[in-house]
Amino acid sequence: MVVLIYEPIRLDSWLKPPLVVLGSSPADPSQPPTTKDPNTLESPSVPGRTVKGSVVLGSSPADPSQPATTIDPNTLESPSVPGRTVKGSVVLGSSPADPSQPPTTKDPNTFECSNGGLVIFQGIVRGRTGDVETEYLEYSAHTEMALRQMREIENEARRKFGAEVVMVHRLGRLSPGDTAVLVAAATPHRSEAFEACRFLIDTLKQDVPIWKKEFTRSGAFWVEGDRQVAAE
Amino acid sequence: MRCRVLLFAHLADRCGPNHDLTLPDDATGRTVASELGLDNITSFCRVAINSRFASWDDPISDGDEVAILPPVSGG
Repeated sequence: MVVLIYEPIRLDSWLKPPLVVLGSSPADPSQPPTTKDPNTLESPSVPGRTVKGSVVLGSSPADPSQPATTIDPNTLESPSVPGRTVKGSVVLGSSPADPSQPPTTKDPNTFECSNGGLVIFQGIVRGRTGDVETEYLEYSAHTEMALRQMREIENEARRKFGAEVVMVHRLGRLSPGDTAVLVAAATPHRSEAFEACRFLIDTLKQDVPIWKKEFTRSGAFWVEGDRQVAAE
Repeated sequence: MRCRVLLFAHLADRCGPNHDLTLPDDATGRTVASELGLDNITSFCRVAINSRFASWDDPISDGDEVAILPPVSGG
């Protein structure tokens, strides 16, 4: 599952393996997220509400030969359970609807749990890099190609490590503390999960056409690889 | 032949993000850079044809989209 998104990635405190919920934002940002039963698969912050106003520019279709399609983020299909949709979230694995009941393989909410290792990397906007104080960043992309490259990386991680993969990159304006990128790899054992996660982020940073423009008190510049180019 | 050219990051600032060019039939990515006065960028930028990385000397076909990609900085 690969996604470019303008909405915040809210992982926060409700990351509880084997459940991982990404995406969704509160209707009222001034309200703190409330802890909801993650099994309801609703927005954790607003019961019954799903992500609104987010721009999901594409996703990974089951068939990689198919072009990216613009999808309704409210009905993202679970990457682990084909055909199952998840409201307001991107889910990698889930737990049974009723935790008191033992999981059954028939329950569509039951993650087919052959993956015992899950490694997640989040890239967070720094407020300070050396002596430079960052006010905010703006990310832009060649979106069609970025999604294509992310899908290729996803497929390669699957081939090399047998990993189930989630990659989310935000675009637009981000402030220090915001999560700009999140990649996750799940594999049967931890070693491959660490390797796969590292592969995902390193390859993304090298081969996915996304650029960041950094705004500081003393001016703005493009970051282009190791170079900084003053913005006009 | 005609092609659509996309520029990004500081190149988009400097030259504008989109260009429609008319090119000779044997044009390559290098021809595109030259047409835009960007001959010097081929040493550090990459080129993509129809959203796939390509070589600067790969041929371009009529209707192709050519993207000139400065070193990326996602993540």
